[in-house]
Amino acid sequence: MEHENKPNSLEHSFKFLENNDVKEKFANLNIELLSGRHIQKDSNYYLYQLLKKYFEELKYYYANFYGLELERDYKDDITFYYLDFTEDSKGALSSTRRHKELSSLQTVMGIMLLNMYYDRYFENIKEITFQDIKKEILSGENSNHFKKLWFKEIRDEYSPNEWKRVIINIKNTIRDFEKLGWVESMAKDEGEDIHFKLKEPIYRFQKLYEKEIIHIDEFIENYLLQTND
Amino acid sequence: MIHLNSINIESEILDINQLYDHLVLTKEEGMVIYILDSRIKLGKISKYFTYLDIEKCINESAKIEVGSIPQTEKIVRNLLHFYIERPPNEELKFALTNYAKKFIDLIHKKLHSPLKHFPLKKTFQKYADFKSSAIETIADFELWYDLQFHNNSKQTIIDHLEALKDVVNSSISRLNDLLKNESEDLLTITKEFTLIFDEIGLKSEEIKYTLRLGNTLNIEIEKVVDIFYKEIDEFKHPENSIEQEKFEKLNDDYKKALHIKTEVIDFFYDVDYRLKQLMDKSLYANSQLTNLQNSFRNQSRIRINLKKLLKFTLEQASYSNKHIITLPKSFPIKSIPVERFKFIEVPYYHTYGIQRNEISPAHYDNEYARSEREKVEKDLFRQESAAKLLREYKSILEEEKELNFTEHFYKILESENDSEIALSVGFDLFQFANRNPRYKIEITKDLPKAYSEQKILVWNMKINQIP
Repeated sequence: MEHENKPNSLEHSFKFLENNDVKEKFANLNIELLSGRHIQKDSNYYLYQLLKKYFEELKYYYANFYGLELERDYKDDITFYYLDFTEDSKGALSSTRRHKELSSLQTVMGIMLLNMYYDRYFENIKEITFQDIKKEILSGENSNHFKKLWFKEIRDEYSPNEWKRVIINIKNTIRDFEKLGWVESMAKDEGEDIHFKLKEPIYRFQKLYEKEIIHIDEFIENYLLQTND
Repeated sequence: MIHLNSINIESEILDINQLYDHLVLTKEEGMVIYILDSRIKLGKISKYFTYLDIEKCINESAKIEVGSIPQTEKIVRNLLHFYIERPPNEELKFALTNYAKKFIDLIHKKLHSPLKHFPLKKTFQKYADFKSSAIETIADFELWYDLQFHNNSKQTIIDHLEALKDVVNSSISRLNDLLKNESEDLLTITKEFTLIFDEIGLKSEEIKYTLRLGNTLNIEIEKVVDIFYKEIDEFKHPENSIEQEKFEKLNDDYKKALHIKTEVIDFFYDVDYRLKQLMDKSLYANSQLTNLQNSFRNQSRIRINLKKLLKFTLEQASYSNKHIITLPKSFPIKSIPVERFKFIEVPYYHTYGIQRNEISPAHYDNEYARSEREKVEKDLFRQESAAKLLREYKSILEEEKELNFTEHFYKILESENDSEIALSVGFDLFQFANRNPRYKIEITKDLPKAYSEQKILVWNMKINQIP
């Protein structure tokens, strides 16, 4: 770590907290980052500017007090910031109340949305409607798997009641992802259909599964070997 | 009139609802019509075709999309409503109707807009060449708007914009598709799309140029509106019905001119906005293409691996009643830092439990009661004195035929030491004299010198009995 060997400059390192712009926005920034939010320019301009200006200082601050890494990442010319665990520790958030394992549903939806992000690689607004998801489930490449997962059995059509259960669960996942800054809802009214855009920080999901993605064949092989034992 | 129109619209909605399935075809039916037309054009089948020809086209269409082959009988029955007909003297055969030809034409124009390669600049220049001096009456202006602008220039720009939108959207969607194919040669893709984006750039430049022409058009329109405003401004205030009518006509003309101006300005704003959206789209796609050049191989591998990961995850996951989806415990699940911040506010209560309402006994305030009683007594006394004095003065007036009230006002003031009584007597006495026709009131607005030292000053007020 860059500042690790400078205990004498500790006081100096936190001087930035006295600056007016930091005093004004720090509480907000701290809450957002610790809540797991990914911050980018077009969704949170002021916090983004603060992160840009004091990146090194804030990085040291989170490493020192929380044992967390403040990360700066890029996807498709967009910069975004977020907090991550270090390689070997969950830092001050190691208590189970303070970090969250993604649920099975969130994991499946995350991989699905990441694929949809790449399907729209050349579109400046990566918009997803309920129709897109419905199409993916009913006639996409993995349609049979999706049908079995969402509806328990494979059929051509499903009743509105069966869909209702699926829609509620998708909506909840989208709401969770919106809190993280991975998607932005475009359905402004309560009760409106599923409608959102994928934001660049969804790339974080790819980072979470980076090892598995890069060595996918090896991962599958090892996984199957282990489970068959 | 309005009522009739709304009835017409309502009945048309009902008609459309009834005929919709015949007017608008299903994908299978539409494809058959399109294939029939193309085979006729190629000379492979006659313009009067047979039932068997239709069946062949249905089979041909079914080869494109995997699925069961639709029934020929059912398709023919539906097409016979608007799309195919029995030609005269060839009653065992069929021909495409004019409606079917228009339908094919509409699709063809949408896919291959002739405007994609047509210079917009030249077309628009002619229409933008509008001079305010050519307008003399509101009818001239309306005619220009309807014929030159609304049905021509505006339509031309919209068509060009639509054509550009189609080029941008289809290019982006082709690019997205290409990324999915692992074997595509990147160099060819890049070259091809650089050309497309160059073309989009040129086209948008042309539209921007027409927007600039739009500015000069707006200036000329502003001049026309000013002329109509000036006419109202210079018109004198209408004094008779003819002038009023003329004034209203001028007002009406001005409103119409203003409406045209708003329509034109709004249109250019709209074009500007839509063009910006298209440019943002195409610039983004272009920059993504540049990004891709450096990392195509890597991106493509990640893309393929991601698909594998999705498929594998879906295979491992299973349906769950409670959680909708569950992954096995051995599946690697990832964590992210999440600390929820919430301030829980507990309302503060002074006491807990049910509080009884107590009756507090009324407290008798002697001092307050006494002062209130005195107030009432004083009031009563004042009313009595005033009534007594009023009676006295009425009889004085009756006997002496005249009364100088100013003098008596000060007398009362002195004897009673209460201005309220003096004022009350005066007020009632003058009201009595005013109502009674036998008396005449005389008030002069001068203050008698004899009483100039008094705190209250009153005018000279006399009451005389009319002889």
